[in-house]
Amino acid sequence: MRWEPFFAAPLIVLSSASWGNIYFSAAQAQQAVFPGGKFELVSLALTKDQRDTLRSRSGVHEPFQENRVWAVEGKGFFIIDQVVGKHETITFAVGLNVDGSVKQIEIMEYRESYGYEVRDAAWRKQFVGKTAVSPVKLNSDIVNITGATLSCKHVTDGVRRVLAVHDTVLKSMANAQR
Amino acid sequence: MHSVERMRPMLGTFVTIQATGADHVAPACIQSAIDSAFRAISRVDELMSAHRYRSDIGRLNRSRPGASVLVHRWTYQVLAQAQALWRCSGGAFDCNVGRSLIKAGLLPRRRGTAAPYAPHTPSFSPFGSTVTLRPHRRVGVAQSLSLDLGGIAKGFAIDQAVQALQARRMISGVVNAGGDLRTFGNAAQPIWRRCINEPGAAEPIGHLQNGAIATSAPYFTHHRQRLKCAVSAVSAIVNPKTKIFCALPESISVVAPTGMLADALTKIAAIRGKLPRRLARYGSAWMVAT
Repeated sequence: MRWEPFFAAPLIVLSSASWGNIYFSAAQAQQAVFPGGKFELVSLALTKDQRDTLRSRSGVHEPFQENRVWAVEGKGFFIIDQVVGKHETITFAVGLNVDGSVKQIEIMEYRESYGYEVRDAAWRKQFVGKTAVSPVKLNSDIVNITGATLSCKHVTDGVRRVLAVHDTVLKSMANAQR
Repeated sequence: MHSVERMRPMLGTFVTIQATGADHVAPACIQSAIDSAFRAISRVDELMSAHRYRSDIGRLNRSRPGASVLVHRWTYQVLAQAQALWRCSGGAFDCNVGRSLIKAGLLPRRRGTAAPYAPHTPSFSPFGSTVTLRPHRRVGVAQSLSLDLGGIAKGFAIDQAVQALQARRMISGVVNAGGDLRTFGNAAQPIWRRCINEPGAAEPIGHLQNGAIATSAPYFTHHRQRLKCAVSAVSAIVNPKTKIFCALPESISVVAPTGMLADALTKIAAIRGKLPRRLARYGSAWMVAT
């Protein structure tokens, strides 16, 4: 083991940083969760009642995006969802087995930001003129951050919502196909 | 040289694993090495989570006084280390503080019981004298327990993940379980630490090669006892002597050769305010305070 501390006062402080990383694109995540699977986009149309059920069962308030659900032939379902926590925005992928159990959870995109940054004009400026094609550059080379443990409760809630989607809509769909 | 980085929600936090393979190793091999490292972490979670009914810790917490419980060798290893640290620290490192955590709402109440613990048991018994390690992975329980390995098992999990990566011949990498991280390989990795007043910002504190660092700080802790204390910066660490949650005015980091030692020694440093010299020598560790 070798530890070389910086004795001088830190030269750089990443203040009001939003750091994070993009780990997967949708296609890469699909291959990581169901290698060699055949993916077919499922068109969902959730009714208001169903949305209310999802909200009460998971506690997640952001609307569920219906165009990110895939059926994997003979293997189950692949769903991408997003949650916004107190300190972080996370896009994650869940692979479900045919029986509705969770096969794998992968974080696709993790971005950490705090409420006070949004009020900061300099921080907001980085988003001006950005489109989906030219995403915001995050401080993605900083992976080795030590600090107090941040809870992943929001992702757990998000996964619960994905399971609720399976329970309310996808399960009957899979049964109908059989 | 290829390098792959993945993140999954595990151990109640976000676990990031980054691994680099040798020149001829394909990214798919690195990916499968990372998968096996994640599997090792989830195995530790299954064995040692106080939230799980069927884990070794769940079984120990439900066992009657006088029972002898067979546990997995990993659990045995962590309990042995916890006991050595309990002895070395004069009782400051104590895993039998689950009751205080349940009261503060940091741990769920036990399933199947109305009260978090049976009313006839004494309110607290020191870890070292309650748990006896017997041969052949058997653990003797003298009084009813309320164990929580939250102060040591995460460090053990990152150690197991690093071992899994090294067994698959990864040449360097980092395993970061929500702030407790371990690096391996020849490259010295720059280490950043969250600022105490502004956890959204980070500052570089040094370079670490083949070692582990763990940090305790109060900024992500939210529990019910916060109001009872005069100071606002209350951590999730219980002082076993007073049963009061430690106040942490600064963040405390400990650098040690293994994740398990770094994780556990941080708790002792937070309770004592400093890392006792005897323990620093025992674990060949340093404390890095703000």
